[in-house]
Amino acid sequence: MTISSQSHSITMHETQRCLVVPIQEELSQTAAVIIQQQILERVHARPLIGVVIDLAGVQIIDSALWTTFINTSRMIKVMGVPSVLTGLNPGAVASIIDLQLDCDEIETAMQLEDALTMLTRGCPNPSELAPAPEATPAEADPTTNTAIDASNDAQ
Amino acid sequence: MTLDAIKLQIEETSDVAYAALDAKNFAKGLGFSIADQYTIATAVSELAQNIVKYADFGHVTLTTIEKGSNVGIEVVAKDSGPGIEDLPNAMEDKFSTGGTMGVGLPGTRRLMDDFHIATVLGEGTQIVVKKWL
Repeated sequence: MTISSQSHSITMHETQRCLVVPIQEELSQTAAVIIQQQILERVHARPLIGVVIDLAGVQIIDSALWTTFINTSRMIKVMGVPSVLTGLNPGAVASIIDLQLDCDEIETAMQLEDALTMLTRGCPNPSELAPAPEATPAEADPTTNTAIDASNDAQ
Repeated sequence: MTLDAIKLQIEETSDVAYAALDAKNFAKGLGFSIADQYTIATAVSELAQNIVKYADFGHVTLTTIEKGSNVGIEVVAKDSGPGIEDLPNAMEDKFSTGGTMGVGLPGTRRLMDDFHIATVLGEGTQIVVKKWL
């Protein structure tokens, strides 16, 4: 297992106008701050409707690392873009709770797909989204099925 | 595989992450459950983070301990930093002089079975925590 530290560049990609940031290895806080900077620059440069930070590869989360991610999420929010954390493993979650870290204001989901559903739900221009075979046609055409009612209710 | 003891130098934030991983592997070698491995790793991460934040430099030592048939891990975090001025407050949640969340010490105490701290102003701080299998 490796640890990211300085001079780290993370591979981010976009889907359905959401920025997806997969974190695939243990992070030092320094690396987390560098990633924070990269995310903020992307959010500033591109019209995005949401950011997903996928922590599936991070097994050890201490208070400093968690605070960095919470602050990243806050900063993105201030820029007008919602974000969702995904992929937290049971060990990390137990530590977050034992350490009594702040997790009330953060949106989380287990899977990337769930996060994208959360973020694209209220999207004003769903037809402009990249192909999303499940959700997009249903939202674009209100007559198709009952799934839209459920998603509308959830708003 | 079990090790008797390892001593890790803590100087920068990448050392913190490495110490946490070393602690996880050490705990795994002793037979701790996966959940406990992460708990121990997180505690070590908190202690090492404190060294970087307040003292710049220090050591974390991981040791196998035994009491009767019980086996456990002892973590000693030692620095020669400024010491903690207000220890009772530092042990309370949400108290921090480091501009962070102030959960490090009380959080670490909750994560482990045994927690002992000794600090002398101007000389440094030593924190000893234990967790039993």
